[in-house]
Amino acid sequence: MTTADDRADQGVVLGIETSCDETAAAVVVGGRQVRSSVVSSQVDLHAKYGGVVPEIAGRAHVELFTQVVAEALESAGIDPRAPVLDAVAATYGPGLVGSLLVGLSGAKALATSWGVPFVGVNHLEGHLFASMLEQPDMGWPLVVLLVSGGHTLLVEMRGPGSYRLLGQTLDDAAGEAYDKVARYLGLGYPGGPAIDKAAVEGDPTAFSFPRAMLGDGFDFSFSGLKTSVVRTVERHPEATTADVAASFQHAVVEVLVAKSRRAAEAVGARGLCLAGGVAANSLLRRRITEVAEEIGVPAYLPSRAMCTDNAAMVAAAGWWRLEHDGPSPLSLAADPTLFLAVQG
Amino acid sequence: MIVLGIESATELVGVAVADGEGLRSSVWATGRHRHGEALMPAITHALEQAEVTLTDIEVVAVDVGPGLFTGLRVGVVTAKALAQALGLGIIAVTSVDVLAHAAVDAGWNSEVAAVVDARRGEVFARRYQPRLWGSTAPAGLSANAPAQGPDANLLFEQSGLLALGPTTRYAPAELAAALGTRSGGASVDGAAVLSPESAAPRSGPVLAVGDGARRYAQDLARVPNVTVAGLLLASPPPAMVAVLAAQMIAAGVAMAAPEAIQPVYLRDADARINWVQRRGAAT
Repeated sequence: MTTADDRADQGVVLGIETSCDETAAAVVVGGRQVRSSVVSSQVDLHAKYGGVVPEIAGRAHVELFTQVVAEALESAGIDPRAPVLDAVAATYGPGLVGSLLVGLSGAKALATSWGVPFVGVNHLEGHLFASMLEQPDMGWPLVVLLVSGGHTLLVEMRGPGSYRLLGQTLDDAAGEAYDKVARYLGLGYPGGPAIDKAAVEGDPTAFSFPRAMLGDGFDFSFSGLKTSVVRTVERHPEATTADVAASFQHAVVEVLVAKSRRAAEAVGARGLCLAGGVAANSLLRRRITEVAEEIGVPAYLPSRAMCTDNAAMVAAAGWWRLEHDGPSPLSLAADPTLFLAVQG
Repeated sequence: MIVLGIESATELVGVAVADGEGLRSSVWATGRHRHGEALMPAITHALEQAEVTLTDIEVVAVDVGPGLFTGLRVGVVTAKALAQALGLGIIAVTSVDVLAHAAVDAGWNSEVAAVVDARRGEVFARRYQPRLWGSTAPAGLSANAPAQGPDANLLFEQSGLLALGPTTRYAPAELAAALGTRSGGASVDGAAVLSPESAAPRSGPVLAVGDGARRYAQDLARVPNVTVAGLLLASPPPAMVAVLAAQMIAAGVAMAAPEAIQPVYLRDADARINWVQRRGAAT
């Protein structure tokens, strides 16, 4: 019999992610090497409602779960009947409770059936691990800007598992502001890619939208932006969608980038890192790269697949958590409002 | 044939192990810990009580609803994952069928109405009569017609229960009116039985089981022939899920692959209902 210790490929983890509207499974070895990563997006199911509908998301996760897991195992060359696996990890929060419960319950059952440990993973910590999958040699501390449809955080990461929260949004997440403005401009859902695309032909200086709290600490506020966009369009009926989109995007990105830069300087960061779905935004990627160059630190930009929700990041964080904290109990509850555990 | 049965369609969450000879263990809980927290520990406990391990299990059975949406998702995805990892097939049972069989198991031998709370002032209900009661199926009602799913008739042949139509969503008062008329009357479809022209005679005694029956006991008890069952028939018992599935397998019911099993919601998501209504109004 082969035990985990005999194998060269130690730490084979099946990760499962169902916190919002992506049903995802992945196999990652040693928290580093991605053997497979399958993401089944439900974006088409939710597009006509202009946002994620929790009940529809929960139903779709149940429908997709078996096939997504099967595909992740198969692409990784793992026999589901006799898997060479060391753990099953799943996101247990934050997110939509009805969605979280699908991946969490399925992961517990898979782990128990295979006789391997189950590990619950914090979705936010997963995003922080995403960069490490592609950048093996990052220097600490890092300043990570985690921006998505549900979160906007500025985190000092001193190493895996060691985080200090520098700032966060006081109201809407950056991605939420994109969705709201895209809906108002009739650009569709999801708003991030839609505005990014519409902005290409626009003049970012056409309108000046508010840069809330620009010079003020590391917290963010985006809830006033949509109102400002609405007022501007009402006052300037001749405004082109491209100009409004470009000006809006410019305002959001300027605040995100300015605060990331100040945070990096304040903590003496040895790198600036992006995470979360909004990190796929082309303007944000360009500006963060420029700012990192200006302050003389590397910029770590995860590939687009690693920015958006995926299970490889969950498997990576799960392996680290298993090694440091051990397995999670099978009674672990979904926690829709779970926050990042801040540890020295 | 060792069956692991999973129940999570109502507030009760539980697990049972059965084989061809009957029940081997049963574990259930209500109270503070939700389905997602309680189910997997209940599975390990039920296996231990039955003195078996997961690798001894040959079939996974699960209650697919209707019932609590989130509860159903926890139970169904757990069954799917167990079956996938262990290479097993799944037997799906419905909450109302399990409740009706529990009523017969408890000794009732007349008509049964299995009534599950659908929230928002509605219930999911299905009516049954024991085959012993009356001779054959009422006129116009084929024994093959009412059952849900291709193999469900085999189940009813076996148990002696006859389902009188599909599971339907009712307002409690509608269900009460339907239960006050003979089930084998003009139609077995709940809506048609309600028609005022229907001169259908009053039904025989009906036992209403399930959390929906208890919640709307006052509405249902106005009907003279209806008795609302007590606490122990409020939720589908996990023991009945496992035993029923073992009987179904013995009767030749085919097992399903894990990807083919889905919860039976019997109600669209709100956003979808609203969207369809808005579209309907716009056109």
